[in-house]
Amino acid sequence: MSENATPSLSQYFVQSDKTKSEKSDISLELSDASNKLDILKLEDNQPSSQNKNEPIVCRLFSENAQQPKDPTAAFFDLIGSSHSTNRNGVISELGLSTATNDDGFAARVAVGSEAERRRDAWIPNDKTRQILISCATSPPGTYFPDKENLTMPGVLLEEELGDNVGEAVAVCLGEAEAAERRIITANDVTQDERGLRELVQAGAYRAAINLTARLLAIYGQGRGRGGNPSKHSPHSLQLWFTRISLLIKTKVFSVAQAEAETFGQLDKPDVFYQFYPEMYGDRPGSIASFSFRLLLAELPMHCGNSKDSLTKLFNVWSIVKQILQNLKKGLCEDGNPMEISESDRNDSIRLWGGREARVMHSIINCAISLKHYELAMDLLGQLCERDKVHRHMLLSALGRLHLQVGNISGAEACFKEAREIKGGAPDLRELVDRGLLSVAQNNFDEAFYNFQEASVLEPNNLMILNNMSVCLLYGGQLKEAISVLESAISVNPPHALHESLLLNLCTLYDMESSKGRMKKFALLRQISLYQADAPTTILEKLYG
Amino acid sequence: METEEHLLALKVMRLTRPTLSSPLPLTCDSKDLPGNLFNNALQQDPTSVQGTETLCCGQFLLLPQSPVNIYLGETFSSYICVFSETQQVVRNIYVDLQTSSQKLPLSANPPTAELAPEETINIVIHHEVKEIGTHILVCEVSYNNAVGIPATFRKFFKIQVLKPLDVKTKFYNAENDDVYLEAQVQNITMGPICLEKVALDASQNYDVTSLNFTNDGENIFGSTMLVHPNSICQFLYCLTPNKNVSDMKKLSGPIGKLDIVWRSNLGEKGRLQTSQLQRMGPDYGDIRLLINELPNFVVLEEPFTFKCELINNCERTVDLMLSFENVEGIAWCGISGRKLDPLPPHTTRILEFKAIPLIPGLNSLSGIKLLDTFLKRTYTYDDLGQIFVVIDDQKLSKSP
Repeated sequence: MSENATPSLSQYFVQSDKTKSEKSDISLELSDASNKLDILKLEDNQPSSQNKNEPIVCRLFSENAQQPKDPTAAFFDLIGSSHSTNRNGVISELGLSTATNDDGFAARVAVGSEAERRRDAWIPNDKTRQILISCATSPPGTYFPDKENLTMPGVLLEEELGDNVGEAVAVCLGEAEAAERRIITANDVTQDERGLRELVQAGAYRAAINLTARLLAIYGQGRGRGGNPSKHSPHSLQLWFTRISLLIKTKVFSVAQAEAETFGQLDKPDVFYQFYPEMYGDRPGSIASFSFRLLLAELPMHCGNSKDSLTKLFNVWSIVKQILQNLKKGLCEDGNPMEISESDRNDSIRLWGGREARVMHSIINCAISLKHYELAMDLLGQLCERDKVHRHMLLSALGRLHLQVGNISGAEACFKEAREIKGGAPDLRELVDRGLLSVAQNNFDEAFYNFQEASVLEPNNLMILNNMSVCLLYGGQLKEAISVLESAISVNPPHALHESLLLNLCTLYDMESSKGRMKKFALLRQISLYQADAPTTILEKLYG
Repeated sequence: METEEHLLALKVMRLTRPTLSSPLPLTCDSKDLPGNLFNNALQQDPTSVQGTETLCCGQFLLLPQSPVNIYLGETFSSYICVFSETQQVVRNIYVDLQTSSQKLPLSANPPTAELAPEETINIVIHHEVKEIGTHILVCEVSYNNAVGIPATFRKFFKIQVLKPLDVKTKFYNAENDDVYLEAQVQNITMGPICLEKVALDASQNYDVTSLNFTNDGENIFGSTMLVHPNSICQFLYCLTPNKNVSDMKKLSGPIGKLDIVWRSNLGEKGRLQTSQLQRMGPDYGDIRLLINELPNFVVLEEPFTFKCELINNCERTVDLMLSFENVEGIAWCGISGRKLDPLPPHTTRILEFKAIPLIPGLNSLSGIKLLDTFLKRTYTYDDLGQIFVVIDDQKLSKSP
């Protein structure tokens, strides 16, 4: 509180001398908590200290960032290497996944700066650009934007998320069984990014959400801190990205939406490096990652407002297109006429081309959720044209889109073209597509046969087993349908206890007899044994 | 209603088409905090499709989770499961389904002889719905209990059949006896539908040409006839009377019906036929006068001729008196009040007229009158055809 004795209305994140504090006009309101905050930021603020005096979380982050491989690297490499064969999926092509891609870039890049420039490039809107120019050109400590131009996030969730599976077990199976449940919680891991990843990997998303709240408190963005100015760093924004992603993954959409509101579309000046010249010098670009931008644009769609998402996604797309145009015109991503090497430019075009495709995927998904199928088909058609490598996979997706609206001949044409491009013996996807076509033609026997053929290729593929089970039901074989799903679960419980599969199985149990309830409890027991988390919708189904 | 305990129970599930389930496509860059964890989770999700993980066009069938409307022309499918609630063996089980019009035995004939405690009787029914409104399906199960005492119970299922399409038709009669049929098909269901087939089954008196394809045979609506809720697709057909239909009156009345097949979610199919479309045949009366030859351009104040076809539609010979009326813009040349030669039944004759245009511009030919002297009935032909009157000009005057 002593700092309040010397209020400095004229300071925003200014570095004074040793007693410098993070002050803004609004910071007068800050309470004791801000003392803690100030100490942290004190260290954080020293431009030269990036690797020295950072708070623990930051240090861990930078360590991890520098490590080519993270603790789960073995896991990624597995997928990475499978991707380097020619059956690599769109994910890697989109530049989303894998160490392989990074290495591909890193090999040619002496310092991280080129890769960083490419990765962080963004074109802010005009208003933000003006403010950033003012930031860069004013003498340090003399430029203060309005509060409305600041991003002021805070954790809104009042309490930590509990163990919803445990609660369901307690209600249905009794406290005794609930007490036997052992799961990983936010307290069981190191209170840092590494711990956070451990939770995510274990599928303990709710615990991970709890940990993000704790870590954000270190940045003065914890519980109840919304609406108060605080400073952003790559790490704090990554925490937010992770938190909001996980809130969506666990379908706590209303909280995700409320907590994300202050970020808008990440076009306020304080999420750009130029806003903090004293820390980042003249480094350009966005502190918020591209994934975060995409996530925020998609968020309204998950909350039932797809129209809003459509506008936002098109906006993201237009900027990505502009970046690609700039690159092709010989400029930097953001339109800066700085010279960049040819290989750098090609890498960047590849990166942003991949991001463009990813945005198009999101727009397609959004169009589907709006039942705006023409738009989805049109964009999917465009993707088929531009991505020759994955053309057959995209055509197969387009075919299924046709099936979804009931256009059987259109679907057949797509599947046929995909088959001709791919050639060779029918692969799993093709056999499944055939089965789906039979489903659409109301021929569930034929569909079952197709799926069975596919299951020879991958006997434990859950999707195929599930589809076989569905066909059995439509063929009047309820008991067999149930046993297919039950055996799938017994073979691979952690993987098979999946939301959609469980929904199907519960539906079958409901049909079978009045003993369905006991069988659902058995499922709940399995979930409790193998899953850290389960979607609430499923748990409600199991209660019933 | 049912208070007594039964040894058997019955469950019913409506089998609408499954849907395709997809994961929530959350992804991130490898440099983002979660590393590849999100991407890996997505790739390992059973509902994601390898190679197109971030597209929500999955392959994973999800059973219907919420009630779906049923529409006229669709097929109501249902799974009926009869199971035993006790440890006793139940004998002689009949399962019947009663619709508004008929009673269908569902279980095999002879009836299921015995049902052990763990056994079930499974029946999938398909019932095409042919009427709009509330339908009640009654499922009746009769059985004998362990000591042979018969028992019966019923379950009722209400289904509300809605109207899927609104079809509006309009006819246009062309002068050459062709009829154009314009059909507007409006989707009044809750979701988008795909029109798989819209065809006009014409009655035998007509040959039908669909005008919904380009000369290259392509559908003018594009490859997908996707119709959103409340949207309308408009189709046009040309009906040409068969050569062997001589009596024009036969061309009134039924001309055919529209046959429409659509599909919705994952191929759910519906089919409707309209009732016979009735054409209000143009009432030509006993005689008709049609333009046979007429110049498009005529020169001001210079006489021109044109020919008309006079048709006797009736069964008697008609005697006609031709007269001209003064109309603006045209002066008739010829004798008004002239009696024509008698015209036998179902015959035609060509008449030639001569007139002088008096006003430049577009003029219509009006003022010809025919009087049926037997019935004392007058036919007035106004706006019989149109001519464009030009002022004498070197170029135009050369043209005939």
